[in-house]
Amino acid sequence: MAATLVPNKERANDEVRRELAAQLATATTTLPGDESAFQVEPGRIVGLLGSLGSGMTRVGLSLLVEPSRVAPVVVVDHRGWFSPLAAWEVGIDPESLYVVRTETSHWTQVMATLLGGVRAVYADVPATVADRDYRRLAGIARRERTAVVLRAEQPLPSGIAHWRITADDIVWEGSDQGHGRIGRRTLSVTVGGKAVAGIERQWEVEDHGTHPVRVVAGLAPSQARRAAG
Amino acid sequence: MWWRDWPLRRPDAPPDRPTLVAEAHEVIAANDLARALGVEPGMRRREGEALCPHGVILDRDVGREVSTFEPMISAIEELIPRVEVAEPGLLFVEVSGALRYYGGEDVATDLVLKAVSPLSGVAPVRVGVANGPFASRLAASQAPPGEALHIDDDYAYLAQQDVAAIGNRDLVATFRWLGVTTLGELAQLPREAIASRFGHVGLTAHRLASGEDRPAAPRQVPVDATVERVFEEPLIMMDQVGFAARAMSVELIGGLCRYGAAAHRIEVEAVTEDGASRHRVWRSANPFTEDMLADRVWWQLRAWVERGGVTSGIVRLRLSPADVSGDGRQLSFLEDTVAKVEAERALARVQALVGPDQVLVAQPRGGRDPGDRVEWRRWGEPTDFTPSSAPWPGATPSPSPALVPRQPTQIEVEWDGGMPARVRLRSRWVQVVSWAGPWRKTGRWWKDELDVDRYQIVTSVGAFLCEVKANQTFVIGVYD
Repeated sequence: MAATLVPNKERANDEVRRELAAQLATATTTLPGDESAFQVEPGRIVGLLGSLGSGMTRVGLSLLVEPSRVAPVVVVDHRGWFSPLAAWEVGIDPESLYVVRTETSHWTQVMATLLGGVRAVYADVPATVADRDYRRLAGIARRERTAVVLRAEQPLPSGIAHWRITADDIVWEGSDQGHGRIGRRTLSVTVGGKAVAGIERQWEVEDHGTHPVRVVAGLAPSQARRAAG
Repeated sequence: MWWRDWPLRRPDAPPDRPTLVAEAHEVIAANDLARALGVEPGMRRREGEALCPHGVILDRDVGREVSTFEPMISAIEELIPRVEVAEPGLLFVEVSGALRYYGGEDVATDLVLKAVSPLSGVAPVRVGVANGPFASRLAASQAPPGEALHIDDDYAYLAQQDVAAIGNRDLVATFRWLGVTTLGELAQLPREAIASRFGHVGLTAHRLASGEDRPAAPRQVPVDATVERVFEEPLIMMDQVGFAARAMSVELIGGLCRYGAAAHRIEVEAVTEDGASRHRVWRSANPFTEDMLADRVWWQLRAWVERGGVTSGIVRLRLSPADVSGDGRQLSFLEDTVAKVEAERALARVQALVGPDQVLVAQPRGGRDPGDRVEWRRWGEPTDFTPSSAPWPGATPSPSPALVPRQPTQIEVEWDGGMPARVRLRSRWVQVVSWAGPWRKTGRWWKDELDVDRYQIVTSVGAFLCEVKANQTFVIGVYD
């Protein structure tokens, strides 16, 4: 049974919030936010927070899988390190993937240009991007209804309505002390923002490499699907 | 009407030495001295250079060719108004109206030959008269210099021609291997069988062999795709005109793409500040692309400016598609055409911003390291690359690193009895949680490469693909 919330104008906001928090804490079924938290919709901005090696690149790429089925998607790479192998493994077709390598100084201009014409963009954000540039890009993305996944080492500035996915922990399985090889990984993330009605939740992302990626929300696993997050 | 070796008509082409003109590593024209040595248009530039090592090799300059070709077109337009330019040295003229006006084919062709002969110089024009462009082009190539070859029955004429006339080398080679040597033999084959075996290119070849230049039912586009720009400030610089032409080409072709249509003829019209109007029709056997169209508009405007056709600033530019066919790109079921066109426009602007080498597409290929398994190429460049799904012994297994440095990056690893114990990331040391390997990769001795050992090292903050050579550790991939 899917839990739904009907806002009641007669009740105070804090009462509604408490009720929602109670529902979320005891949820054993799929909540409205679960279905959409790992999908990028037109105009949505997703901020991925995590250091290099925290596994967020594959999470971000998996968000582009659905948009890539109908239109080209673009990866903006200011380091020049991006490898499309991972993108292909999560399910993005090579013909739908374009990579733009840019200097840090041109990053904002490139992003503004792409947001005006491309349906979904994944971008590695340089540390030097100013808050006003973030806000301007967010405005373009909302106006042009472009889905944007921003991989940053710092949180996006306040005032930008976005979905925030923060890497908490990563566990690799398959390798040992010289034996086996890296296989499955389990990534613990915290999802915040409007995806879960402003309340942060813990999620687990299971990644088997070339196998479908499985998202586990709280105690209620959603249906496994290909490269959902 | 066809002038052989028009690209050789340039002042820097010496008449007394073997000379050839090349474009994109292919010979497109050669004078008689070069031909006597075995050089033929269509062969690779390297072969041409090898056959006449002391000859003159020139790079093609299409803009100049169009400019020198302009007087020919103007001379013909004085007699027959509907002239369509395919390329410098080749044009098509719709003569049905002219035949009635002048009273017959012979009279009309004689008038045209007299008009252009004084301008043609050493290489006279060859004229082919037929019902369709394909047959007339073929007839012109076989006509005696300075004369016309009239074809009464296109089908019968084409049936005797060699199958090489269709132009596609691979397809021609296959047809010959199958025993089909003439267009007549090709036309007698069932069209369904050709379409089933060879697809679109085979179908097009069969249509040409049967005397059909274009599908019987041209594509109907529900809106007028004409693109027009009015400039309040007249354009007086060729660069300004070039930018405008490119933007208009993108808009026109993009508009047609929305309906899966493509244009084979484009009318270019320019109106100048003093009220003069010039127009020209360009034709292409293959559908125009944005680049092709932008180039032709640019060449035409340059030719008008250099030949005095346009004497003041341009205030209006108009591109009108004609002869629209359904030869547009075949879309997949889910594909959003509008999104694709808009994305390509955005990428073109980004390419102008960051340079052509920075907007890339990639294809999988074989290789041992993650960096080797990606074939990068510039976006917009044609490719005949075929992805391989064959297994590659020695390749690092999936999952693949999401980040691969362009050059292996050295890191500090503390080893304990041959096992990695700690890794230094920036300023701090992190403990190795687990590791896999080593997998030996034998270096290419002919490139002086050393043998390396590859490891997957998992730390508390991330996993890395490393290689160890000469007691130094390098990161070649980050599992991010």
